Amino acid sequence: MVILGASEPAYVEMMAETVTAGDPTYTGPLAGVSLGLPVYHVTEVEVRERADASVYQDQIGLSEVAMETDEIWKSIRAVRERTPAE
Amino acid sequence: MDLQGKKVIAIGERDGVQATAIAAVARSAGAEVLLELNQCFV
Repeated sequence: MVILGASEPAYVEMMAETVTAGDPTYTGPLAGVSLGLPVYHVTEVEVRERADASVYQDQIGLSEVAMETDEIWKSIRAVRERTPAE
Repeated sequence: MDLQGKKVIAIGERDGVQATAIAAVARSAGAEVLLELNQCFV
């Protein structure tokens, strides 16, 4: 499983696409290589709810405030729906 | 989805959440972190 921490929805989408369907920019070694890995953003409920609450708050809490989490979740979920994990 | 026992690759970003923080969160959920790396898009 891959867990991402990028703060820009476009970067999150590109990185998620790279580890699922393959490098969308066709510039790296994963161009055309579909790894099909499950991919989540660290702020998503699937990760947050399973982590220790105090560790999450210490490590992520401040960064999360500055992120457009709704947009990040929307873009990474779209990638997962396009390319389900194998 | 359960993180317990899962193998995790943590890909952080310099201006977002860094990989060490992602790894700490994943470990607290019972996952095994195989790789931590940070990207920089500047």
